[in-house]
Amino acid sequence: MEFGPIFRALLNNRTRFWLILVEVALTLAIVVNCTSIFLEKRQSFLAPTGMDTDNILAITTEPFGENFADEEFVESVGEADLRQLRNHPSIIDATPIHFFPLSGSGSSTGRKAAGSEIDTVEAGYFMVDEHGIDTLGTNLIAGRNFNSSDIELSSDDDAPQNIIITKAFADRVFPDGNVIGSRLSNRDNEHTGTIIGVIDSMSNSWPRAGMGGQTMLLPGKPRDNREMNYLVRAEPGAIDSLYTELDELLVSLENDRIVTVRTLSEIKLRYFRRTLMAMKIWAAVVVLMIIVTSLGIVGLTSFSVTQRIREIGTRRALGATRAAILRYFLLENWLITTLGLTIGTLLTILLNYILAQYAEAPKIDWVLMAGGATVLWAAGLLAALFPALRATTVAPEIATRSV
Amino acid sequence: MFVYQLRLAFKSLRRNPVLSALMVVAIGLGIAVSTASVTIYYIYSGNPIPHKSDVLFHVELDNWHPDKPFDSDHPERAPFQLTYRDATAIMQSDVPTYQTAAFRGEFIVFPDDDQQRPFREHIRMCFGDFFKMFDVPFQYGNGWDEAADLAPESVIVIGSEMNQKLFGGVNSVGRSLKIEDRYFTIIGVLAPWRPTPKYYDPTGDPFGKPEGIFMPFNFTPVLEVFSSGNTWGWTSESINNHEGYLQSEMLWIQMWVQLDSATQKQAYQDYLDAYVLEQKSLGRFARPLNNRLLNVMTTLEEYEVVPDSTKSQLVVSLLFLVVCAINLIGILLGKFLSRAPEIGVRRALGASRSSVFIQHVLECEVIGVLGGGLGLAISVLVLNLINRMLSTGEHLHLDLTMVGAGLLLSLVAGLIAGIYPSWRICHVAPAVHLKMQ
Amino acid sequence: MIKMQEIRKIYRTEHVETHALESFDLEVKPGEFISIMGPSGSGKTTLLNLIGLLDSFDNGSYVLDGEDVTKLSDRQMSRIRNLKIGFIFQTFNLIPDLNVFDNIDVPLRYRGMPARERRTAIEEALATVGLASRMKHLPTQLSGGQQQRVAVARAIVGRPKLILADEPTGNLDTAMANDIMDLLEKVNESGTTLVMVTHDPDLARRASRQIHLLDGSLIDLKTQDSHIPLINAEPAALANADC
Repeated sequence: MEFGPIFRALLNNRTRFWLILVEVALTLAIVVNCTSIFLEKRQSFLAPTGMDTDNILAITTEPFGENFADEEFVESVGEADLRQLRNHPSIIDATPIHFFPLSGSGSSTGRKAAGSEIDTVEAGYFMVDEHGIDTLGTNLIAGRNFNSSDIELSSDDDAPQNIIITKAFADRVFPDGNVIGSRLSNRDNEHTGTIIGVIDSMSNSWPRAGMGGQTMLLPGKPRDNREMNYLVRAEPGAIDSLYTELDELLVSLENDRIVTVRTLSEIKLRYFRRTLMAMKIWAAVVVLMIIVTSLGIVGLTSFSVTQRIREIGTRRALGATRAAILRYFLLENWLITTLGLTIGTLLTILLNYILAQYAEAPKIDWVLMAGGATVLWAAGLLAALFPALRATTVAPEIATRSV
Repeated sequence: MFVYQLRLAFKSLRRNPVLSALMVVAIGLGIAVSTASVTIYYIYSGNPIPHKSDVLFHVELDNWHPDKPFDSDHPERAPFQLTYRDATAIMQSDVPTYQTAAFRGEFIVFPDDDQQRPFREHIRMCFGDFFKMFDVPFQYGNGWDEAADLAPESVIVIGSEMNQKLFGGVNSVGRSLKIEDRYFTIIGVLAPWRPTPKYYDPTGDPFGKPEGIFMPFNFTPVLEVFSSGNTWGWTSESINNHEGYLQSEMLWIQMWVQLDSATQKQAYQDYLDAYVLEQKSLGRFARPLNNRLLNVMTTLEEYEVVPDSTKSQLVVSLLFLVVCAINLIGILLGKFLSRAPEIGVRRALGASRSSVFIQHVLECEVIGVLGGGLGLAISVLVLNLINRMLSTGEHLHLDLTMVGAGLLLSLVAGLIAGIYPSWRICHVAPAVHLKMQ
Repeated sequence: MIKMQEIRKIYRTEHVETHALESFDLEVKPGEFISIMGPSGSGKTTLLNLIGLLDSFDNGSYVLDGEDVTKLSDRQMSRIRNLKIGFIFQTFNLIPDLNVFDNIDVPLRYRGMPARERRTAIEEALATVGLASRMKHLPTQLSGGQQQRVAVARAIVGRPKLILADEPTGNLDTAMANDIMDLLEKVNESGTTLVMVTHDPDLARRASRQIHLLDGSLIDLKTQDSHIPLINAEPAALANADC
């Protein structure tokens, strides 16, 4: 293996060396960083929501009738709606709600353990009734669900509520455990709620945000004509038919309102639409980079072979077999690629740093770096193979030609 | 002489069409990707109202928790919005040329004909000055005056899409529209208007469409309007009714003023400070005095409207262009050096080193420009694709500045790629290649 | 050393068949120094290519150093070239990216020689040609004469039995040319067979035997030294040859 001469030759003919080396290094930096961003975005999209997202429908009602000004009327309509929905054969359960999870619209607030000195933790919250947990498809892992007295209590705005929280939120607010029965307060140390239950996980309105899994469920039912929205959990397979039926059903119950039905999946897709598009763009960039660089290596190596036809002929004359010529060029390419990938590793970290300062950049996973280097190394080898094979066809008698 | 050399350059390219095509594509791809990214970045971070962006000011009062700033990463910042009390109070000032408190509400609209069902629509509650301040273009009619603000008169202005939807696009000035429980008279219809970004209210989707209907602000208590934008609060308050909402410390109103001179700005600053100090004596405004007047670009900066993706895409695209340029250098080297014998002859016949150099640089620039043209065409396609994928009707398009930028980029890329190969070829010794026949 | 019989070389293209070399026989004893002369286009280089196994022939047999090399695979020919033959080219053919040491190293690498042995051999070869001080230099930093001397070092480093030189002084001035010729004679004196192609009659005369080529036909000449027998030649050609 002629590493020494190959390396020294590369140093003497700097152009070819540097062009491929810089190209490989830059490509590694770009490919690894872009893949990293792609994976992070993909992860945020695919992360489990904690809910039965595929089977949940979100219903928005916008009442415009005059009688909706009356609170009791609103309550009775709400009850009638929920009764109809819950009795529907294709519906597992239904709950009233105001804002929808995964939608990007919602309410959030900061809470801390009562009496604690640490700062409040941000959480998104939703007001649901005792059917909320089953409708959402979340799992209660400690404590109990809401009951009717919790719901009754909710109408008193000043009283602390009984609250259900997610484990993610519980872990931050009550790191020592002892969650059930503990009290929550706001920043001003006013007692705002008592924890009665913990669910394993549930995304709030902002699943992409750092606090996306920190969620609180508050007990309540629609009292205001602005809050009459519902979540409905369909039997598996029934969601498509319900999608078209439900607005007619509710309008038939009460005419003076606009009813809009969407699936929770739809809402999630809309929230993530920029993320999904960014993912496509990053994936395209990665593929494009690998292709362009491979073609570039084919071209540059091919040019190198053409420039060195006399050298190849001379080597053959001096006793090199065709295999030896192939090996020589592949080795040369291997050396440049390896050096390029080594420098590329540094460049990747540098680019990651620049992106983090200026825009977004997840930390580089070393497995990803190794994977990227391997892919590029293989691509480089494959790219160099064609010109290298061409080099082996140079006849030894070229050496004696005078031109 | 230049024309002659240009013609030579084209002839050289025509001689090997496949190789030339390869070079044009190599650089064209890089230009396409960079131009698309730069365009997106430019549109997202551009100045939506350049001729006025320095006289329009976003008003911020630091009405937040005594112990914690609104933004702990940037403690010097104040909350973006005001309370109803404060907004309506400082609207009394006579200092600004124009001023408006504003927010986004939501109403049910009842179209006239029976064909259309009632629908929910976002409505911007604002003062008559809004239209003058932000240079909002009218197709028919105009906005309302101070008297209409005060009453408030039941008048509205509708956007061009809303006009299309409700009335088929005709001049609907004078017609009435039922919103919630009462009728409003349309006194103005806007021409198509979509500031990018929506700088007067970047909350929500800063690149979304403006509201379809504009209504005098003072209907807020009358119609019991709640904000359907962002509402922030730093203290817990029990709010039982709309009146309570209006009197609370909840922040949900954007405040903009137009101050045309430095003295005017100072006068207004003094006015704000005096107001807040007065409120402090009433027990409000627990934080230190920090009233801010931000111009348009600073406001957009603090709202961070440019998505991070856009910035990182920009960086990556430019690196991609570099890789494409490297490939182009490689191809050029191959092409030029294989021509060494011919150049040797030319030099022997008297061509100077610099003329050989210029000749080749020119050839590279031709490739660069052709690649730039190809790249611009591709980037138009790419932008259209993105528009369609986002399907929110966002308009990413190439304007003249961007086309110019793309061409500049291609000239620069052609130059950078071409300098080294051209330098190499012009240093070929004539003698060496003459001998080898 | 060399025993070729009824060798023929024909170049075929789509339309034309060129007889580069007519059927010929050639014998070279070990340790001989022969020169091959002839005008341009006579086939000198083709003949050298055949002797050096750089090209294949269409007819006949070839025994080199006791081995039948008539029908060998490319691999086998490469091996023989590597072990038994040293080449010196008119255009030097040094590899421009490699320094002097690495250039001379090339044939040894193909032999699989271990590093220390290679180093010793290279240093010896450089000493023989008188360029020990230039080990790290690049070809572009050397004069024409020095480059050819490096090429000679490269040719002898593997101690080949046969050296083929193709117009070795063609690109050199008189002084350098003489240096090279002296060097080649020195190598020949140590027992290495030397076959040299040249168009310069003065240089050709330094060989102990001259072979002329004319339009692809070999004509062997009687030289001053009559101990070396003639090969079978056409009587007519003999009559026309210079003596």
